[in-house]
Amino acid sequence: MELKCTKDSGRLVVAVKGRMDAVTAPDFEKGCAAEIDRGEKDMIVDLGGLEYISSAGLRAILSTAKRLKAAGGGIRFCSLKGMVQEVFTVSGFSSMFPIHDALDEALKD
Amino acid sequence: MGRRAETLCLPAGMESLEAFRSFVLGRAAAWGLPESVLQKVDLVLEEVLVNSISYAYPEGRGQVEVACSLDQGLFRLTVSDRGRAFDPLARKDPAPVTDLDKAAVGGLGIHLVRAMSDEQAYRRTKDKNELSIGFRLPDQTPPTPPRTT
Repeated sequence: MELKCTKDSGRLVVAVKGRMDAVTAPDFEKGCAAEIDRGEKDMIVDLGGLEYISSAGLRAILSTAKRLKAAGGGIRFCSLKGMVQEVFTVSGFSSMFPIHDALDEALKD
Repeated sequence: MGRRAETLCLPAGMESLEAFRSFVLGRAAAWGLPESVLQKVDLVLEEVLVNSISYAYPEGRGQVEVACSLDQGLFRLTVSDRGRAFDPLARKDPAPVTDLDKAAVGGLGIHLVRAMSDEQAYRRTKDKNELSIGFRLPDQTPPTPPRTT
């Protein structure tokens, strides 16, 4: 899994690539926690490069989302595809979080 | 079409995940499973293995056995261990989470297993936990039997 944090139009974009599984999910959580510790409150997570996610990945996202909410902010997702989109749907994550088709739409919102 | 089955036994640890994954996905691909089913097998395998690794042997190390078979258009994945009795299917499937404050971290894995497979069965035989998961292959892609000449 590859994690890249950048600023786009003043907003934090976390781009995730590869596989978010039981082995790599803690890296996502740690990477996001570091951004939250730096004072970030809102996060756009770009999942366009993510090929696979398991329940361990969902738990890492849930824990990050709870932290952001506690900080007074929130999390949104964009560019879900394939099995990642399916896992978001069957787990209820698609109804719990704002989901956008593309990054530019997430940035406008 | 003859039944085909293969088994791999490894230590119950996270370090075994990748070897189990190559074994199962390698066989499944060789047996002609389409990409759509392979992705589901990939996910379900991780969920049931992590479950077994996390709960089977709280006081030490044991082995986990993964078997896969293809018979009559049904790909079956069976994960067994000799740890304490634990039926992951006994847990009631939680309602899908929609509220972040109420969202619980537990139960997501087995929920995905149920959603991504067609058959699930648990049985305890003697000292063995055996979780068997079935995936039905789409009709339009019948697996081709190996050529016998």
